[in-house]
Amino acid sequence: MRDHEALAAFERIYRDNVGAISRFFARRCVDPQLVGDLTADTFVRAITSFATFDAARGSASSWLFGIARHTFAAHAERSVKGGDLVRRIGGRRELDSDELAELEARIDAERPGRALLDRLAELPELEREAIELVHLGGLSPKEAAEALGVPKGAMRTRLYRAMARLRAVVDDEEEARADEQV
Amino acid sequence: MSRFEDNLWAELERGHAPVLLQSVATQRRLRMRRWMGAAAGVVVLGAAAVIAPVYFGGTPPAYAVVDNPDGSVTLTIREVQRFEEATAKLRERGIPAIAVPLREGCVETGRSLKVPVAAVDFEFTAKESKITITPDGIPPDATVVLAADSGADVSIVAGGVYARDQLPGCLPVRGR
Repeated sequence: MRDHEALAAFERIYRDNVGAISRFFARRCVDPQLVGDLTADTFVRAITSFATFDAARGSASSWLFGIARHTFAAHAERSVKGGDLVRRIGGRRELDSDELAELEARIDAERPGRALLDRLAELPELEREAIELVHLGGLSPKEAAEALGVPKGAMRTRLYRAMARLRAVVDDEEEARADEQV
Repeated sequence: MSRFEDNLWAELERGHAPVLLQSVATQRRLRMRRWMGAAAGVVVLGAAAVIAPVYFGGTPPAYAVVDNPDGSVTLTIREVQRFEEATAKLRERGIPAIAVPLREGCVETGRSLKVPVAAVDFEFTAKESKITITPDGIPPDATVVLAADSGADVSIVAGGVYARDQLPGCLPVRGR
Protein backbone atom coordinates (compact mmCIF):
# COMPACT_ATOMS: atom_id res chain seq x y z
CA MET A 1 0.00 0.00 0.00
CA ARG A 2 1.40 3.38 -0.99
CA ASP A 3 1.64 6.20 1.55
CA HIS A 4 -1.20 8.37 0.26
CA GLU A 5 -3.36 5.27 -0.14
CA ALA A 6 -2.72 4.33 3.48
CA LEU A 7 -3.91 7.70 4.71
CA ALA A 8 -6.96 7.60 2.42
CA ALA A 9 -7.73 4.05 3.57
CA PHE A 10 -7.51 5.10 7.19
CA GLU A 11 -9.78 8.08 6.56
CA ARG A 12 -12.40 5.77 5.01
CA ILE A 13 -12.20 3.50 8.04
CA TYR A 14 -12.44 6.51 10.33
CA ARG A 15 -15.49 7.94 8.62
CA ASP A 16 -17.22 4.56 8.45
CA ASN A 17 -16.72 3.85 12.13
CA VAL A 18 -16.35 7.05 14.14
CA GLY A 19 -20.08 7.25 14.79
CA ALA A 20 -20.31 3.71 16.12
CA ILE A 21 -17.20 4.15 18.27
CA SER A 22 -18.45 7.40 19.82
CA ARG A 23 -21.80 5.71 20.55
CA PHE A 24 -19.88 2.87 22.22
CA PHE A 25 -18.48 5.43 24.67
CA ALA A 26 -21.79 7.31 24.90
CA ARG A 27 -23.27 4.14 26.38
CA ARG A 28 -20.63 4.22 29.09
CA CYS A 29 -20.16 7.89 29.94
CA VAL A 30 -22.53 10.82 30.29
CA ASP A 31 -19.86 13.52 30.08
CA PRO A 32 -19.67 14.66 26.44
CA GLN A 33 -16.09 15.88 26.80
CA LEU A 34 -15.06 12.45 28.08
CA VAL A 35 -16.91 10.70 25.23
CA GLY A 36 -15.02 12.95 22.83
CA ASP A 37 -11.69 12.28 24.55
CA LEU A 38 -12.12 8.51 24.55
CA THR A 39 -13.21 8.51 20.91
CA ALA A 40 -10.18 10.61 20.01
CA ASP A 41 -7.90 8.38 22.07
CA THR A 42 -9.20 5.31 20.24
CA PHE A 43 -8.47 6.80 16.84
CA VAL A 44 -5.06 8.09 17.88
CA ARG A 45 -4.17 4.54 18.91
CA ALA A 46 -5.63 3.26 15.64
CA ILE A 47 -3.82 5.68 13.34
CA THR A 48 -0.47 5.09 15.01
CA SER A 49 -0.83 1.30 14.68
CA PHE A 50 -2.58 1.23 11.31
CA ALA A 51 0.49 -0.13 9.54
CA THR A 52 0.07 -3.39 11.43
CA PHE A 53 -3.67 -3.70 10.73
CA ASP A 54 -4.28 -6.76 8.59
CA ALA A 55 -7.69 -6.93 6.93
CA ALA A 56 -7.16 -10.65 6.35
CA ARG A 57 -7.32 -11.21 10.10
CA GLY A 58 -10.50 -9.27 10.74
CA SER A 59 -12.61 -6.32 9.72
CA ALA A 60 -11.70 -2.72 10.46
CA SER A 61 -14.80 -2.44 12.66
CA SER A 62 -13.80 -5.34 14.87
CA TRP A 63 -10.23 -3.97 15.03
CA LEU A 64 -11.51 -0.55 16.13
CA PHE A 65 -13.96 -1.94 18.66
CA GLY A 66 -11.10 -4.00 20.09
CA ILE A 67 -9.06 -0.79 20.50
CA ALA A 68 -12.09 1.01 21.97
CA ARG A 69 -12.53 -1.72 24.58
CA HIS A 70 -8.90 -1.39 25.62
CA THR A 71 -9.15 2.39 25.66
CA PHE A 72 -12.15 2.26 27.96
CA ALA A 73 -10.54 -0.38 30.19
CA ALA A 74 -7.44 1.80 30.53
CA HIS A 75 -9.62 4.81 31.32
CA ALA A 76 -11.55 2.84 33.95
CA GLU A 77 -8.30 1.68 35.53
CA ARG A 78 -6.95 5.23 35.66
CA SER A 79 -10.21 6.45 37.16
CA VAL A 80 -9.97 3.85 39.91
CA LYS A 81 -6.38 4.83 40.59
CA GLY A 82 -7.18 8.45 41.20
CA GLY A 83 -9.07 10.46 38.74
CA ASP A 84 -9.62 10.70 35.06
CA LEU A 85 -6.35 11.56 33.42
CA VAL A 86 -7.32 10.88 29.85
CA ARG A 87 -7.64 14.51 28.95
CA ARG A 88 -4.31 15.53 30.39
CA ILE A 89 -2.43 12.46 29.19
CA GLY A 90 -3.85 12.68 25.71
CA GLY A 91 -3.43 16.43 25.53
CA ARG A 92 -6.93 16.68 24.13
CA ARG A 93 -8.39 20.00 23.19
CA GLU A 94 -11.52 21.25 24.84
CA LEU A 95 -14.52 20.66 22.62
CA ASP A 96 -16.46 23.70 21.51
CA SER A 97 -20.10 24.21 22.38
CA ASP A 98 -21.40 22.79 19.07
CA GLU A 99 -19.36 19.64 19.47
CA LEU A 100 -20.47 19.24 23.08
CA ALA A 101 -24.09 19.64 21.98
CA GLU A 102 -23.66 16.95 19.32
CA LEU A 103 -22.16 14.53 21.79
CA GLU A 104 -24.80 15.34 24.40
CA ALA A 105 -27.44 14.44 21.83
CA ARG A 106 -25.59 11.23 21.11
CA ILE A 107 -25.39 10.39 24.81
CA ASP A 108 -29.08 11.08 25.11
CA ALA A 109 -29.86 8.86 22.13
CA GLU A 110 -27.93 6.03 23.74
CA ARG A 111 -30.12 6.02 26.84
CA PRO A 112 -31.90 2.82 25.77
CA GLY A 113 -28.50 1.25 25.14
CA ARG A 114 -27.33 2.19 28.64
CA ALA A 115 -30.55 0.74 30.05
CA LEU A 116 -29.90 -2.50 28.20
CA LEU A 117 -26.34 -2.62 29.53
CA ASP A 118 -27.71 -2.11 33.05
CA ARG A 119 -30.04 -5.03 32.54
CA LEU A 120 -27.12 -7.13 31.39
CA ALA A 121 -25.00 -6.15 34.38
CA GLU A 122 -25.30 -9.54 36.00
CA LEU A 123 -24.13 -11.43 32.93
CA PRO A 124 -20.49 -12.44 32.57
CA GLU A 125 -18.52 -9.61 30.99
CA LEU A 126 -17.88 -11.35 27.68
CA GLU A 127 -21.54 -12.24 27.22
CA ARG A 128 -22.53 -8.68 27.99
CA GLU A 129 -20.04 -7.34 25.50
CA ALA A 130 -21.08 -9.88 22.89
CA ILE A 131 -24.68 -8.71 23.06
CA GLU A 132 -23.66 -5.08 22.99
CA LEU A 133 -21.35 -5.39 20.01
CA VAL A 134 -23.87 -7.34 17.96
CA HIS A 135 -27.17 -5.74 18.98
CA LEU A 136 -26.05 -2.19 19.68
CA GLY A 137 -22.71 -1.87 17.91
CA GLY A 138 -23.93 -3.38 14.66
CA LEU A 139 -21.12 -5.91 14.32
CA SER A 140 -21.73 -9.35 12.88
CA PRO A 141 -21.18 -12.25 15.33
CA LYS A 142 -17.96 -13.01 13.43
CA GLU A 143 -16.71 -9.42 13.86
CA ALA A 144 -17.72 -9.43 17.53
CA ALA A 145 -15.70 -12.63 17.99
CA GLU A 146 -12.70 -10.89 16.40
CA ALA A 147 -13.11 -7.80 18.58
CA LEU A 148 -13.37 -9.88 21.75
CA GLY A 149 -10.66 -12.32 20.73
CA VAL A 150 -12.80 -15.43 21.08
CA PRO A 151 -13.42 -18.23 18.55
CA LYS A 152 -16.46 -17.80 16.29
CA GLY A 153 -18.13 -20.94 17.61
CA ALA A 154 -17.70 -19.76 21.17
CA MET A 155 -19.23 -16.41 20.20
CA ARG A 156 -22.38 -18.09 18.89
CA THR A 157 -22.68 -20.01 22.16
CA ARG A 158 -22.14 -16.86 24.23
CA LEU A 159 -24.73 -14.92 22.25
CA TYR A 160 -27.29 -17.69 22.54
CA ARG A 161 -26.66 -18.01 26.27
CA ALA A 162 -26.68 -14.26 26.81
CA MET A 163 -29.94 -13.81 24.92
CA ALA A 164 -31.54 -16.58 26.98
CA ARG A 165 -30.42 -14.87 30.20
CA LEU A 166 -31.60 -11.51 28.94
CA ARG A 167 -35.03 -12.97 28.22
CA ALA A 168 -35.09 -14.38 31.75
CA VAL A 169 -34.19 -10.95 33.18
CA VAL A 170 -36.96 -9.29 31.16
CA ASP A 171 -39.46 -11.96 32.22
CA ASP A 172 -38.53 -11.44 35.87
CA GLU A 173 -38.93 -7.68 35.54
CA GLU A 174 -42.33 -8.06 33.91
CA GLU A 175 -43.39 -10.51 36.57
CA ALA A 176 -42.28 -8.12 39.31
CA ARG A 177 -44.17 -5.25 37.65
CA ALA A 178 -47.29 -7.39 37.39
CA ASP A 179 -47.00 -8.30 41.07
CA GLU A 180 -46.71 -4.61 41.98
CA GLN A 181 -49.86 -3.83 40.04
CA VAL A 182 -51.79 -6.60 41.80
CA MET B 1 -20.35 13.82 9.25
CA SER B 2 -20.77 15.94 12.37
CA ARG B 3 -18.66 18.90 13.42
CA PHE B 4 -17.04 16.82 16.15
CA GLU B 5 -16.12 14.09 13.68
CA ASP B 6 -14.75 16.54 11.10
CA ASN B 7 -12.70 18.36 13.74
CA LEU B 8 -11.35 15.10 15.12
CA TRP B 9 -10.32 13.98 11.64
CA ALA B 10 -8.53 17.30 11.07
CA GLU B 11 -6.75 16.82 14.40
CA LEU B 12 -5.73 13.26 13.51
CA GLU B 13 -4.52 14.23 10.07
CA ARG B 14 -2.56 17.19 11.37
CA GLY B 15 -1.03 15.52 14.39
CA HIS B 16 -0.68 11.86 13.49
CA ALA B 17 -0.67 11.37 9.72
CA PRO B 18 3.16 11.60 9.63
CA VAL B 19 3.36 8.74 12.14
CA LEU B 20 1.02 6.65 10.00
CA LEU B 21 2.99 7.37 6.83
CA GLN B 22 6.27 6.60 8.54
CA SER B 23 5.06 3.32 10.02
CA VAL B 24 3.55 2.21 6.70
CA ALA B 25 6.86 2.99 4.98
CA THR B 26 8.75 1.07 7.67
CA GLN B 27 6.51 -1.97 7.26
CA ARG B 28 6.98 -1.84 3.51
CA ARG B 29 10.76 -1.60 3.86
CA LEU B 30 10.76 -4.62 6.17
CA ARG B 31 8.83 -6.62 3.60
CA MET B 32 10.98 -5.36 0.75
CA ARG B 33 14.18 -6.20 2.58
CA ARG B 34 13.15 -9.83 2.39
CA TRP B 35 12.47 -9.46 -1.30
CA MET B 36 15.65 -7.60 -2.12
CA GLY B 37 17.73 -10.09 -0.18
CA ALA B 38 16.14 -12.83 -2.19
CA ALA B 39 16.64 -11.08 -5.49
CA ALA B 40 20.27 -10.31 -4.86
CA GLY B 41 21.37 -13.55 -3.34
CA VAL B 42 18.72 -15.65 -4.95
CA VAL B 43 15.69 -16.75 -3.79
CA VAL B 44 13.99 -17.56 -0.63
CA LEU B 45 11.70 -14.70 0.10
CA GLY B 46 11.87 -15.42 3.68
CA ALA B 47 8.61 -16.35 5.08
CA ALA B 48 7.27 -19.81 4.78
CA ALA B 49 3.54 -20.07 4.76
CA VAL B 50 1.69 -22.94 6.33
CA ILE B 51 -1.09 -23.83 3.99
CA ALA B 52 -3.93 -25.81 5.46
CA PRO B 53 -4.99 -28.67 3.19
CA VAL B 54 -8.57 -28.56 4.40
CA TYR B 55 -10.78 -25.53 4.69
CA PHE B 56 -13.76 -25.17 6.93
CA GLY B 57 -16.88 -23.43 5.79
CA GLY B 58 -16.68 -21.95 2.31
CA THR B 59 -13.70 -23.11 0.31
CA PRO B 60 -11.54 -20.20 -0.79
CA PRO B 61 -10.09 -20.40 -4.29
CA ALA B 62 -6.65 -21.95 -4.76
CA TYR B 63 -5.42 -18.61 -6.02
CA ALA B 64 -6.70 -15.21 -7.02
CA VAL B 65 -5.29 -12.48 -9.24
CA VAL B 66 -6.56 -8.98 -8.58
CA ASP B 67 -5.92 -5.77 -10.52
CA ASN B 68 -5.36 -2.94 -8.05
CA PRO B 69 -6.44 0.64 -8.76
CA ASP B 70 -2.82 1.82 -8.79
CA GLY B 71 -1.95 -0.51 -11.67
CA SER B 72 -0.29 -3.16 -9.56
CA VAL B 73 -1.47 -6.76 -9.63
CA THR B 74 -1.80 -8.98 -6.57
CA LEU B 75 -1.54 -12.74 -6.75
CA THR B 76 -2.88 -14.50 -3.68
CA ILE B 77 -1.88 -18.13 -3.57
CA ARG B 78 -3.34 -20.67 -1.17
CA GLU B 79 -2.56 -23.96 -2.88
CA VAL B 80 0.95 -24.13 -4.23
CA GLN B 81 -0.02 -27.07 -6.43
CA ARG B 82 -1.72 -24.50 -8.66
CA PHE B 83 1.24 -22.11 -8.62
CA GLU B 84 2.15 -22.51 -12.27
CA GLU B 85 -1.42 -21.87 -13.37
CA ALA B 86 -1.58 -18.81 -11.12
CA THR B 87 1.63 -17.45 -12.58
CA ALA B 88 0.19 -17.87 -16.07
CA LYS B 89 -2.65 -15.56 -15.01
CA LEU B 90 -0.05 -12.91 -14.23
CA ARG B 91 1.33 -13.24 -17.75
CA GLU B 92 -2.18 -12.81 -19.15
CA ARG B 93 -2.17 -9.41 -17.43
CA GLY B 94 1.08 -8.45 -19.06
CA ILE B 95 3.30 -9.19 -16.06
CA PRO B 96 6.52 -10.88 -17.17
CA ALA B 97 6.44 -13.73 -14.67
CA ILE B 98 7.33 -17.39 -14.86
CA ALA B 99 7.18 -20.27 -12.40
CA VAL B 100 10.12 -22.61 -11.99
CA PRO B 101 10.63 -25.59 -9.67
CA LEU B 102 11.85 -24.96 -6.16
CA ARG B 103 14.32 -27.68 -5.27
CA GLU B 104 16.80 -28.63 -2.61
CA GLY B 105 20.27 -28.49 -4.13
CA CYS B 106 19.23 -26.52 -7.20
CA VAL B 107 22.24 -24.77 -8.71
CA GLU B 108 20.82 -21.42 -9.60
CA THR B 109 22.18 -20.13 -12.87
CA GLY B 110 20.10 -17.03 -13.57
CA ARG B 111 21.31 -13.45 -13.38
CA SER B 112 19.35 -11.65 -10.70
CA LEU B 113 18.64 -7.93 -11.01
CA LYS B 114 18.04 -5.23 -8.48
CA VAL B 115 14.59 -3.74 -8.83
CA PRO B 116 12.96 -0.60 -7.45
CA VAL B 117 11.68 -1.04 -3.93
CA ALA B 118 8.05 -0.69 -4.97
CA ALA B 119 8.25 -3.21 -7.81
CA VAL B 120 7.40 -6.34 -5.88
CA ASP B 121 5.81 -6.63 -2.47
CA PHE B 122 5.18 -9.73 -0.41
CA GLU B 123 2.89 -10.54 2.46
CA PHE B 124 2.70 -13.89 4.15
CA THR B 125 0.09 -15.16 6.55
CA ALA B 126 -0.57 -18.60 7.92
CA LYS B 127 -3.00 -19.41 5.14
CA GLU B 128 -1.82 -17.61 2.06
CA SER B 129 0.96 -15.75 0.34
CA LYS B 130 0.37 -12.47 -1.47
CA ILE B 131 2.66 -11.17 -4.15
CA THR B 132 1.96 -7.66 -5.45
CA ILE B 133 3.80 -6.66 -8.59
CA THR B 134 3.90 -3.15 -10.04
CA PRO B 135 4.58 -3.69 -13.75
CA ASP B 136 6.13 -0.24 -14.20
CA GLY B 137 8.79 -1.17 -11.66
CA ILE B 138 9.99 -4.22 -13.58
CA PRO B 139 12.76 -3.36 -16.06
CA PRO B 140 11.87 -4.10 -19.70
CA ASP B 141 14.58 -6.75 -19.97
CA ALA B 142 13.60 -8.52 -16.75
CA THR B 143 11.30 -11.33 -15.69
CA VAL B 144 9.86 -12.08 -12.28
CA VAL B 145 10.76 -15.65 -11.42
CA LEU B 146 8.57 -17.32 -8.83
CA ALA B 147 8.76 -20.74 -7.28
CA ALA B 148 6.83 -22.66 -4.67
CA ASP B 149 7.06 -26.01 -3.02
CA SER B 150 4.87 -27.70 -0.48
CA GLY B 151 6.47 -29.93 2.10
CA ALA B 152 4.67 -32.05 4.64
CA ASP B 153 3.09 -29.12 6.41
CA VAL B 154 4.87 -26.07 5.13
CA SER B 155 4.84 -24.37 1.77
CA ILE B 156 7.54 -22.03 0.61
CA VAL B 157 7.06 -19.28 -1.91
CA ALA B 158 10.23 -17.81 -3.33
CA GLY B 159 11.27 -15.57 -6.17
CA GLY B 160 13.44 -12.92 -7.66
CA VAL B 161 13.77 -10.62 -10.65
CA TYR B 162 16.11 -11.95 -13.34
CA ALA B 163 17.52 -10.85 -16.66
CA ARG B 164 15.28 -12.24 -19.37
CA ASP B 165 18.26 -13.57 -21.33
CA GLN B 166 19.56 -15.47 -18.32
CA LEU B 167 16.67 -17.01 -16.45
CA PRO B 168 17.17 -19.72 -13.85
CA GLY B 169 15.74 -23.19 -14.53
CA CYS B 170 15.01 -23.71 -10.85
CA LEU B 171 15.38 -21.93 -7.56
CA PRO B 172 17.07 -23.47 -4.54
CA VAL B 173 15.40 -23.95 -1.17
CA ARG B 174 17.27 -21.91 1.39
CA GLY B 175 16.78 -20.64 4.89
CA ARG B 176 13.48 -22.26 5.59
